[in-house]
Amino acid sequence: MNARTIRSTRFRDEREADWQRLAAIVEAAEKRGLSRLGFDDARDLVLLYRQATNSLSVAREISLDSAVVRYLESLCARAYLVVYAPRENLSGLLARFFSRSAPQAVRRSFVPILVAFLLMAVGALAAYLLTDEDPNWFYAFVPGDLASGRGPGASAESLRQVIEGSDYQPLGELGAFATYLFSHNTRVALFAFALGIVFCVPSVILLLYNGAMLGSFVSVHVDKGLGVDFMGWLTIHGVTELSAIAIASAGGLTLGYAMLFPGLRSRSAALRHAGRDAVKLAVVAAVMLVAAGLLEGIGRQLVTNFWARMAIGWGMGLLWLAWFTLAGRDGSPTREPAAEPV
Amino acid sequence: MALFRRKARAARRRPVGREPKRLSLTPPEGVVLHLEVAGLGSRLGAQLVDVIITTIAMFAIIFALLYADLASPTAFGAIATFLVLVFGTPYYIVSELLMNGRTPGKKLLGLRVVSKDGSGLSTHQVVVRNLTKEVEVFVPAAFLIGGGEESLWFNGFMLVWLLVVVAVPIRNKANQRIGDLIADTAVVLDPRPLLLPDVAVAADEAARERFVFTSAQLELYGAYELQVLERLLRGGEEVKDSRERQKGLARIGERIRAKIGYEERVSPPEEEPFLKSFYVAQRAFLEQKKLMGDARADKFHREDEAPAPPP
Repeated sequence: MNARTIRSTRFRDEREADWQRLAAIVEAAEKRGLSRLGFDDARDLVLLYRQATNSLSVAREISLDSAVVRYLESLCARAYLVVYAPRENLSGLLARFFSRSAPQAVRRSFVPILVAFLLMAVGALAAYLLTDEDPNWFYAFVPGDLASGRGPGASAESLRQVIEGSDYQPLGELGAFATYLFSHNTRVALFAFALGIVFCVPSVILLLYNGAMLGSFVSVHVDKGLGVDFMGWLTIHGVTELSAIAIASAGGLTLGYAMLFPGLRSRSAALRHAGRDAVKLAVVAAVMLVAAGLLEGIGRQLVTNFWARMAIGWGMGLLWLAWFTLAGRDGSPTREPAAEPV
Repeated sequence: MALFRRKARAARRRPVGREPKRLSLTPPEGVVLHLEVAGLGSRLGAQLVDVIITTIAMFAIIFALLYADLASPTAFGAIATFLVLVFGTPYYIVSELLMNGRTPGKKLLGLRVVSKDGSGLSTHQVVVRNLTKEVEVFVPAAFLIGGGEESLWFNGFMLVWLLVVVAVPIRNKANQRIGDLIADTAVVLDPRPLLLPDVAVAADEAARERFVFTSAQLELYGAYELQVLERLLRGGEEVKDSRERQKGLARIGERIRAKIGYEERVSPPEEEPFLKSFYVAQRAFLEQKKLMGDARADKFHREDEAPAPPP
């Protein structure tokens, strides 16, 4: 090495081979996946990455060769993304979610879920009483396309037909499932979750409104003496579905609460913290909604017996409850949510 | 007045165009990395590519089922719905998880999702940013394409929501949409490391013996001018013989010699060796100064705007 070569050039010459090697390893890892690296490459990746970040911080101090600083910056960024990549495999992720993190999140969010159920109940009760007083309230609560002919004016016979499932289904059971997934309640759950962020207000309104619709439906059926049958018709999927809506809304309420009362954190930090549980609630709700769709599409048309409907509906409810209360209690149930990867 | 001056200076410091938005990440190693934030146009492009990919995949599966006559017409609707469901949010979540923050569309356009706090991208973050995508991107898009509904309330609400959804990433420092804000992520351009040769090595020994500069002559310029010279010397190595370049170099050499008071005359073919020698000498001088704590950002001898040390 020539004595007249300047310091930063010597610095670069000494390390360039390592940088090139790191670049090659990172390239290979990006292309073929981290798990397919050779033994030597996998061993050296982190070491070389640390050396490169080290070089970068030195180069920023001593070198005025902008090419080197810029190169090292993007090399380090690239390697950083590979070294700190999410290392999840899908099955492990799903197993952990269902066996531990989801039920734990639901247990932690017991209060907002309870509030969501109560809000729905209040809405239902109010609408029931109002519609009982004056059937015209029904039209205020239920949009026309959802009622599909079931209103105060409908005859008991036509209501019974819907309940017993003898009137429709040109598409068959699976078709009903399909239409269900894009139905009203899925949208309610989605919006109640996502819009909860606006200080809880939309979630609360949606919960009250959804409860109100339910209440006025019940009122119309009770009026025609079909209350018990309607409960059976609703129960088979309704237990799962209404719970899903409540859980999704509880997620929204959690987010909104964090916006309203962030405590000692900044609003965005509080939101991020609340988001950890809220998102799990949303995913749980999505799973439950798919299950409810299957129950509604298939179960409700095949099973028309009242007691069987009740048994399936509440049985599902019990299963969900068992999952939420019993799963994931082993090991470290009080794990700090911030440390949890899912 | 002071503001004007500062603006003028800023304009002088910045040679071309608007500075792209940059995102500073601090990995656990503690060395700050600056990544270029992805523009909204390219993100929209990546989203479109993903939509096209998923749509094609969906149709391919549906046609395959039809062709194989596997699905009865009644089951057909259910299968289609399932496909729409699977190729929605789950597609984005799974691909971003397995491909390290990239969907196929993002990969094609050279974008990727990074966690803003400098740790690795977690599953939670990926799920959050894609769950909100449903409400933030797909619902407004469906509204725009579908042309709204009957209800005036609904349309008004959707329009306001649309404005919010568009305004948030435009106003944001790192072009984060609402989902990114909740998940604490950002979309950046994939860094592409490209190592250019060192200009100082290319200067040959004989030339450096011939052109010698005193430290008084090297006192005048700073790091900024040095790097302008570096760009100049680097730009167009491949068109070495072109007359245009020789002329440009001669002009610059002329200017530099006048400024530093270099007495000797330099013949046109020697212009490039002269500039290279000057570059090496100047860089060695400035680096020495910097090492001694006298960093010069430019010829006004302002303090170097070194990046703030990490806490």
